[in-house]
Amino acid sequence: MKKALFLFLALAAVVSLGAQDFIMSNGAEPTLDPTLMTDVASTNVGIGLFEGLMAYDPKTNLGTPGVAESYKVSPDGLKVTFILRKTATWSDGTRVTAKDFVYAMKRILDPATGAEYAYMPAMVIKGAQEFNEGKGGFEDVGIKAINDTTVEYSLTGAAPYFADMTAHSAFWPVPQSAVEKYGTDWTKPGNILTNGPYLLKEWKPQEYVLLEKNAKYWDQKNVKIKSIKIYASDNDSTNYNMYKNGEVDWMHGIALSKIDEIKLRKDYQTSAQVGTYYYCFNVTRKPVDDVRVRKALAAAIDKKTLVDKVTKGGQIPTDSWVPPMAGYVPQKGIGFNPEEAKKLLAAAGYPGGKDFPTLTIVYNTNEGHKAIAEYIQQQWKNNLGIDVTLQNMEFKTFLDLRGKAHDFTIARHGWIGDYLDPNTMLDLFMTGSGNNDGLYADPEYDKLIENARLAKGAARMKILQQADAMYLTRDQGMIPIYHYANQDLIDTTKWGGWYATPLGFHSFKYMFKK
Amino acid sequence: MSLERNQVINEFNQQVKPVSLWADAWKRLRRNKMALIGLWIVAVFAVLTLMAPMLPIYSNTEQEMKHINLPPSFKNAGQVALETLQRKANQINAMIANEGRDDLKPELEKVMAEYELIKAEINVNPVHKRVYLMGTDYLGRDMLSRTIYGGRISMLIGFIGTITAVFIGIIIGAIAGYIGGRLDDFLMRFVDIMYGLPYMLVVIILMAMFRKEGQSSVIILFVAIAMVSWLTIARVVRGQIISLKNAEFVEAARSMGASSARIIFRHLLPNTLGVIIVFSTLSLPGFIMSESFLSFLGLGVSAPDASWGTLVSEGVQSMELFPWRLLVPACVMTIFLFAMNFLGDGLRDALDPQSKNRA
Repeated sequence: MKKALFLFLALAAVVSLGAQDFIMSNGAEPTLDPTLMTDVASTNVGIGLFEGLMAYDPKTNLGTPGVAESYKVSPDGLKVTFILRKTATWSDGTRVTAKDFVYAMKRILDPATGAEYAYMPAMVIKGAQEFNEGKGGFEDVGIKAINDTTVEYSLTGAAPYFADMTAHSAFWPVPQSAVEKYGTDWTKPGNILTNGPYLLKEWKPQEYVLLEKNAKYWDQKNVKIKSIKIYASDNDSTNYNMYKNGEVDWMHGIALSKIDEIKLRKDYQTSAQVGTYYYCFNVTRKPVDDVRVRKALAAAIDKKTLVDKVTKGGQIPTDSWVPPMAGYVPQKGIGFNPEEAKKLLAAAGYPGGKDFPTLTIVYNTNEGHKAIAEYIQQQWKNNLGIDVTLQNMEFKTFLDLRGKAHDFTIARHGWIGDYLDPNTMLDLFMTGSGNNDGLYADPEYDKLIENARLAKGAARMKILQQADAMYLTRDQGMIPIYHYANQDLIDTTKWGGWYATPLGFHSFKYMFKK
Repeated sequence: MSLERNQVINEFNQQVKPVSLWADAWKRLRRNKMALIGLWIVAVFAVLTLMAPMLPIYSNTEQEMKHINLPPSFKNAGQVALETLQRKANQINAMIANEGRDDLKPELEKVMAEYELIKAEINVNPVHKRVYLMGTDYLGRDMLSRTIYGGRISMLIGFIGTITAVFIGIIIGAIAGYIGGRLDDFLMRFVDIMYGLPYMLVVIILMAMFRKEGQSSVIILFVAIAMVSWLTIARVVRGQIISLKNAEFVEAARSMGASSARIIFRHLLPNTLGVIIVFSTLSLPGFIMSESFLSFLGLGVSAPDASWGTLVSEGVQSMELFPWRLLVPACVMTIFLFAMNFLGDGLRDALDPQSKNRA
């Protein structure tokens, strides 16, 4: 009896060991509802579960046909029509139709949903802004299911990036039947319906997500990895140790304290990323409502030393908000200049830092953010003579405080582009945008971004640069610190189909074991 | 033979010098070697941390970007930095030669550029003359100084926690024990309820509720730790008071018309002092440990201040690469906790008249 039990246990162990082909360490707990996704960790998992009209190309991260087999743009660029493939289905076998996309759009734009990403479709799709603000009905929103396989979008302007944009989670379809049946529980295993290459097999919150190949996926014959386990732990050191022991195949993000060692590894993948790490001001709060104070704080940070000595991971120190992109000249805020910083602070009424209130830098608990915050704290003390305190908090609490309550003066922030166009960085700071955590509000700025939507080509870039200059050069709405670098650990001699991409999106679909 | 007031006679009718309880306890403590060593170590720690600003050590918050993660050494910092860079360059060179890692060449150039930079200014820049006995951390701060200042915060948390715990505990315990009845029930059930609350949760909620812009979290940490730490001592004192309150000397005091307050504070409490002192010395390490635990979770003191707990938790993350960043604060903290425990043990033996270890 005992022997039989032992054999059974041994067998079970072997089976469970072989249960997943690919293991990823994601760095944070994901949200699985596409409508509510905001962070990279959620998108990493989401790309496996869902698919938009377009999907991200594994190398360039531009749009490549997903649920849509083709699309047409009208000559004036204001109407985009997608033709859906008839073979695209949900995981229960029902067809993915144009109605699913309309439903998802209605859900994300509905003010009652409170989706942070609502502003993204709201800004390009006609009538979406009004509906999102509760001023208009959904029937006026520019999305129409012409028949089951045709969906037509009417845009506010000729946005050349629109097709690429539909690869983003804010445009993914959502299964109406499951959402209406289970409410907020619809993303639980057993309830969830997905249309992407993978199914949600198991979800242990704060621990891991287990994905399994979706046999009903239209392109399933090209999906090679059968199952994927995605760990949620945010402890970089533990994650790295697991990676070193071979318990993890792909580690997303790396431990700062180990960078000296990791940098020399063969399987360390790094490349420039379209994103910016920055310190966000709540511009409605004293004393950072004064542009001179904001400029003084920005000019008192030596970002080059920070990147060389503290973060050390190939990041690019910057004074601009928009990362380098083809055809666009990023505008600059004030650079490192301690003398100028002192003068600006004195002009604002705090000569030598006298009477300057003690501010707090808020950041989410992470050794990297902590080291950067400590460095900046010291820089401000040395260069401006002001004291700031540091406060760390758990990630979800931090997101609520920064994004919903806006209860901070200075907070650590980072933004990674959603598509390859400067617009993805600049529309963030429009009045009332869901990710405008610093509450910057300038009608002129909003106007410029809206005008850019109607323009084309070089003229459009010019207007965007104007807006960029207004926000950064004139108002210094935040302190850009560095442009992100992708930092991943994955052995590309063992795993194929994984590339260091400009937006940091990686589709499991294309990956395979060599 | 008339006996003078201060003279004491033993059972053989010989005159002996009077010995107070304290002198007696001190005598016994002195015979206990481990306790005495503990006492000395605690005293040295206390003096060092109290005098930290006057000691000839570097600042605990000043960052020196040229001296990041230097190992402990008696040599000048510039020299150590050069050696560290040289070692790194050799390592990369070997990887390029043996494994054909040409992708590391830019990295090698960077290391060499920094090497040249430090070499050029080693005799000019006075910071390179520094000596980091215990190495430096990830922002080039002196570990020795950080450990001493860290001890300041850790020990302060220990002492303040103990003092508030003893103060509140004595008052609540004495009142509950002496008055008894309904009040006793009420107070003790309150203590039970407080015991039932998950300690960490209370601390976390307090930290979240009372944290204000620009304020350091140390004060809230003090309050949070003190709030939940007096419970045990209140129970201990209450038990002692109940067992003593019907003793003859209390009856005597009462018959002479002493007030309740006088009986509690003049007659009962001095008799429980031994237990209280022992309990405090033994619980002090507990406070330091719980602060370390909170710091480990990221809820402790806020940067750039550091306690032993935060130093250890920072050190753990890079213990393979820079072991001194873990070992220095961990060893210092362990030594202090050991010393405190030995001292507590010794005090118990010395002050407890029933102890079988009496010398």
